[in-house]
Amino acid sequence: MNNNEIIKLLKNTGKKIELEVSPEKDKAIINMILRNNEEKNYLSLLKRILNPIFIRTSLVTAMIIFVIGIFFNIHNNKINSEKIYKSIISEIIEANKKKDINKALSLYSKEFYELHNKKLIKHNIQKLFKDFDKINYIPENKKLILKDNNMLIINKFTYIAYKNNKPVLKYKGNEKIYLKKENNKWKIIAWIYNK
Amino acid sequence: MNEEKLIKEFKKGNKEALKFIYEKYKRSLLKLIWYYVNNKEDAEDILQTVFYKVIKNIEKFSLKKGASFKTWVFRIAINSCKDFLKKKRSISLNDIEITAVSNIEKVEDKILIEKILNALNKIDLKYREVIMMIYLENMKYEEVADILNKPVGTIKSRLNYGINLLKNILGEKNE
Repeated sequence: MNNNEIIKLLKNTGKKIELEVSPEKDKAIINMILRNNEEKNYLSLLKRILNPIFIRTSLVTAMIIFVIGIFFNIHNNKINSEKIYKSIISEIIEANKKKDINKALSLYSKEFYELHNKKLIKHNIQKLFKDFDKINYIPENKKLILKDNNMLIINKFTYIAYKNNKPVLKYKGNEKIYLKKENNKWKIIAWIYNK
Repeated sequence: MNEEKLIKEFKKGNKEALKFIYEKYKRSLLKLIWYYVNNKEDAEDILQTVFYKVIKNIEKFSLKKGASFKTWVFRIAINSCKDFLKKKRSISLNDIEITAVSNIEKVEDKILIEKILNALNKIDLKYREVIMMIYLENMKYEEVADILNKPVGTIKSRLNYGINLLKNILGEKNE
């Protein structure tokens, strides 16, 4: 086989290979794109509201009420979001610590299971719990955004899995956990991380 | 709407703009990533990471100075693949599974494609990636040079060297 024949073969190979993103992943990526944009819009709106030029142009009374209102709202929001954060994180840590498969599965929302196969998720978690003696998930919170029935957690995290009392797997990275209120309980709708 | 307008719209917060860009590039990106990692599930996960990085860093991307959005996105994809490969050193470098590829109907075609992809997989990444982009994906030398941040001359010499390596591997198999 000479160089020209190899090049021809490569070009033909390129033409014949066609890949499609699987429908579940496609939906997940589109959701991620749209959700991230909502978060971006929310932050830019917040920036605009807190912009001094905007505040200066308002009437003094309206400004005071507005500012008090905003601070009250932010303060309330902060307390609420921290409460939700502590609750969901302690549930994740506990599920890993006790290797409680039912608890781990109950953390996710209906919306999540519409995009991901529950049996496969269960199988993967079971395998993880079986393969390792101990799993330590250590999050460090960077930002919480609470808006109505949606919440976004931005964390740094460390994930260490032990076997025979030795750490055999260690990941460090950033993660975003999207939560939604479902039947009065906060559930995970997406969990994106990079190691 | 052209790409420049779409990116401006996305920066302004238009929800649909990036979705449109994603639809435009998803297939070619998935294919390129797949060439690197040889596994469709991993390739899809990396594709998601790529768009996560695009969303996160779009503010840093500037349309001035003739920058190409395609080059920028492809560079993100390739760097993500290299990060993935570094972390997953145990990745199987044996036979490539091409069952994920849907439109290959003839058995002979499948065997030939498997043969060429397996041979490619035995070549060092710096030669393989140039062959993949130029011949499999039909990209221009300048585009590849821009994506890999190397001079065009380096791309051409890597391509020639890579083809010779491939020739040796395919020759060995035929003997």
